[in-house]
Amino acid sequence: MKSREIKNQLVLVAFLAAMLFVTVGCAKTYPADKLKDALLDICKIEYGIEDIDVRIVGKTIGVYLPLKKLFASDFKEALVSGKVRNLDTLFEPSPEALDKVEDVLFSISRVILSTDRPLEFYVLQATDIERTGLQLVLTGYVDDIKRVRVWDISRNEYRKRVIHELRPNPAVLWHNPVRLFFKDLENLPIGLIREKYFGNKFSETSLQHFFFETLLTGKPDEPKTLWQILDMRSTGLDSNGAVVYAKVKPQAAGVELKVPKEVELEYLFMITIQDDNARISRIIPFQYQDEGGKWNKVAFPKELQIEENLANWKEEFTVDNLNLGGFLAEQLTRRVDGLVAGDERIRNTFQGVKLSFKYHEEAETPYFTLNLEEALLRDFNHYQRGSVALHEDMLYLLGLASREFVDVLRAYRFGSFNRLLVNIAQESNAWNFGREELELFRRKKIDLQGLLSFTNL
Amino acid sequence: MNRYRRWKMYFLNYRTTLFITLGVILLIVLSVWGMMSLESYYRSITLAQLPITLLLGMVHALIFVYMYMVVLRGGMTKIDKKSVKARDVEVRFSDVVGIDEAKEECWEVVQLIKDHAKLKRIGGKILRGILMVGPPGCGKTYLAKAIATESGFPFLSMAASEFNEVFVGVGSSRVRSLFKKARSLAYGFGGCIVFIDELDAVGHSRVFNQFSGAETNTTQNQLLVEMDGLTGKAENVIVIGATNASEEVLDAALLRPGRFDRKVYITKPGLDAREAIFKYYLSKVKHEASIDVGRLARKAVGKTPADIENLLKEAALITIRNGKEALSMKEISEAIERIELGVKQKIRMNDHEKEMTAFHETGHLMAIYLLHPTDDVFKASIIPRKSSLGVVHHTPREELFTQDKETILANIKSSLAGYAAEKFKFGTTSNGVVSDFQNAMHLAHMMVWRLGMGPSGLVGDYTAIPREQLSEETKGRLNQDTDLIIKQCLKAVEDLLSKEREIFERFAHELLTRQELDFDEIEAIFAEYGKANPRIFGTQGEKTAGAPSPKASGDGAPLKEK
Repeated sequence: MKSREIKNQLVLVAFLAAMLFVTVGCAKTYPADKLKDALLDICKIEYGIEDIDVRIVGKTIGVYLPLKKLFASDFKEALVSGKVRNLDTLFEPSPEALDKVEDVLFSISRVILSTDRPLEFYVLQATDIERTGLQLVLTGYVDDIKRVRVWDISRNEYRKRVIHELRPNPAVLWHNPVRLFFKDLENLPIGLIREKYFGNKFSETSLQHFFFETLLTGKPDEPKTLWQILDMRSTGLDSNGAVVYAKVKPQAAGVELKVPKEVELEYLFMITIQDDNARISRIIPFQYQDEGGKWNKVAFPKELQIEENLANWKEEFTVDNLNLGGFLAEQLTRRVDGLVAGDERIRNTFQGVKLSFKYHEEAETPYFTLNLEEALLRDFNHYQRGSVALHEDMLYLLGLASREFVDVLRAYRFGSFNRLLVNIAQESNAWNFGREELELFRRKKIDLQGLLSFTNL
Repeated sequence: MNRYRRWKMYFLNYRTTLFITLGVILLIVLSVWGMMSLESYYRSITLAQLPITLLLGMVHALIFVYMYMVVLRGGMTKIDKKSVKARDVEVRFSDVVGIDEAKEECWEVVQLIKDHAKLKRIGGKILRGILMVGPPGCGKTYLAKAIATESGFPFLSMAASEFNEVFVGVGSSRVRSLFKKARSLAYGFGGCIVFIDELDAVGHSRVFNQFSGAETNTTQNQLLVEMDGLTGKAENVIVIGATNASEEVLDAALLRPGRFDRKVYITKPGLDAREAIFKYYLSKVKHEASIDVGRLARKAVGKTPADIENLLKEAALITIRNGKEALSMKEISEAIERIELGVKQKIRMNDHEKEMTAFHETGHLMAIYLLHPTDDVFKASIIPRKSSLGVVHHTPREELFTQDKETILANIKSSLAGYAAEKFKFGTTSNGVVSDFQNAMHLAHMMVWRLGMGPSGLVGDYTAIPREQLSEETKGRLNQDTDLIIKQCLKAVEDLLSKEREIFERFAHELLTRQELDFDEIEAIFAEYGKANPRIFGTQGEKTAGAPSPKASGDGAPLKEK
């Protein structure tokens, strides 16, 4: 083969290879504007999980996963049976729930790794919507996913970096009867609705005119009305109940609704809790239709400030815009909790330890605080030994927490802080560790005593 | 139709290129397709790994090439041949001794190479090749070096076996590389000599079947083309081939004019040549003036120059070991013994065994000395060497190229003499006669079956006729003849021993006493009994020994071993 032919072929190969790089290397699979839909599609098509909700706030993507049975055991039954020895076993997720959580987590990781939207955090909120209202919240850092996938960190370290929380979410329990109510409006005839929710206090006509003109009459071939819930939020009441706000939009195919298309109906539902069950005790509409067919707003007393207060009511699913400092503070709290729980010396010398890290981004120069909210030494006598902060066991605990603090921050290359403020509940003053001293401590150039020498209580 | 044929022709000519190109395109398309089906994160990871993948690929390729070239001795087409400058070879024609005829022919060749411009002017063709044929160690390579030195051209030397490789095509590729280099050197220096040693490795007759010879054929074809083919500008490249194989083994195409035009036959040196060789090599070492070169040359019948050089090297080593300053006849004799007979072994024979060996060897000694027309006994020994317990070393007095009936009979008698001696002395025999009998029977059988020397008068080579076609009678007669020869020879030896019983006993006694007897000692003892060497004093010897008339014939230098 002549050299010219070889040259031509090399040019062709180089061109095709360049094409490969250009075509393949540039485009992201999940563009920012389609990210939410992509995640919904993956969960729906690939895993059959349909009812998730996705919200993106700043650099945080949140996913709401409602589950009918999050926990393997029924709390009440388990407790009554008397077989429960360890309360932690009550909070073990069911295998089905775990599968769904893993599937959704994997889907989240897929979309956030292949999108052009600069996401830094993900939050998965798996909520037990029917029984307990408890939710398992998993919060993670996107870079950690990348690092674990390229074996830059171990899976064990990755598990430590993901924040697992179990939080109550009573709003889901309060919202359940309201959701059921709108579902019934879609499916039950007006007679049954009147009987179930209004105790036959109103006539069918007044119900239709005043509230829900699209209620089914039970006639055959009657078109079905769908109630789309646009917003739902709630607040607890001092009495055993809550108020749920719902904004809905009725939609019916093939029927001309009296409600104008642009009108969105709003209601307040009074929820009472009886025998662990939430039920609607009262419905207050925000609009009504007068005799002339015109839609008017109900005039609430101004002092109630209904609209102003609604913004503060609880939603089932909320996503905060996280920052790395806050995330690390949360992670550190859990890491040190784990260390403390597993440390024999601390178990032997402390009656109880409760500590937390906080990140103060809002300050002029951001800083961390370590709050030893509860650190009760077993054999400490205040009057004999002076400051509790200088007790050797306390210093041991502090050394443990400080070492974890510097190591974790170093692992994340986090530098947006200038000090660590250590507050001990029993002491009126706090220790202040500077960033440079903490770095020396991390590099083991100085020990804790050395670190303390730079500060005063 | 024409267009179809043309397309078909293009397809056939470029099908490999076409398939490779399509394959590469297909692979690239599949790669793009595969990459597109990945999510962008995995695409990024794959692309991020590309540099390290390429690097690893290159490292793997390098390891493979290294393994192939170094470990598997592949080397592909590369030939690690550096040209040797003529002045570095430093072998002059004057250094080549003992092969004068070959030298003369080669000198002519050197002149032709040197004056090739003149030759071209008068329309003569450049000499392409010289083929040196001859047994190993006769100075073919040495002569080639001398040609290089005298001509003053670069010298590329390569063994033909270096062309051969397990991979087909490598050999021919190496031939191309070699000639490319040679042409380049010839262009620069006005000429180049390519010396291909052991040419038969690639030059044997080509095999035109599908089962074998593909690689050798292609290598040889390439050699033929390079020597006289449709190559470009003809440079002054002379190929000197050397082979131990006979010409018949080589491919006819190689031998035709235009390839190896000139054939130089190099034979083992004759007496004078051996003398010259001994003188040449002795001149390079310190030696005593008393060394009789003529005698050495006579002893070294059939030796090549390489053998002689080796012999003197060995003698020099023995001299150093003996703490002497100069080489003497004694060291040379020791070296000959060491090379010819082997190193003495420390086997302890019992007295009876020793005695039996001594009489056995004395039988050989007597028969050779008194009955053999051509061979002299140079040594008799009962010191075990190699696998034998004793030995009688004899060589012809001069270079002989044929053997007559009397010489063969004498060889048979010599072989049977060990048996006869044992029987004569002890009334019994040992298993030490095995190889003697084998030799004697072989010779007798050959005389009768192949040489027409049988007593019954059957003439012809009966081995040329298939055995089943020979009548039982003929076979019987032939076998009877063989038997008769053996019996007659044995009788002759027995008669000799009984007649010369005194000498027989004396030699056996001397051997038992001294272990070894040299030529001079043997001659002296025979002289004591008035037995002059029959090969020197023919008639007297004949009368004395009563042996058949010795003639100027010999059989090389068979080693009679017990």
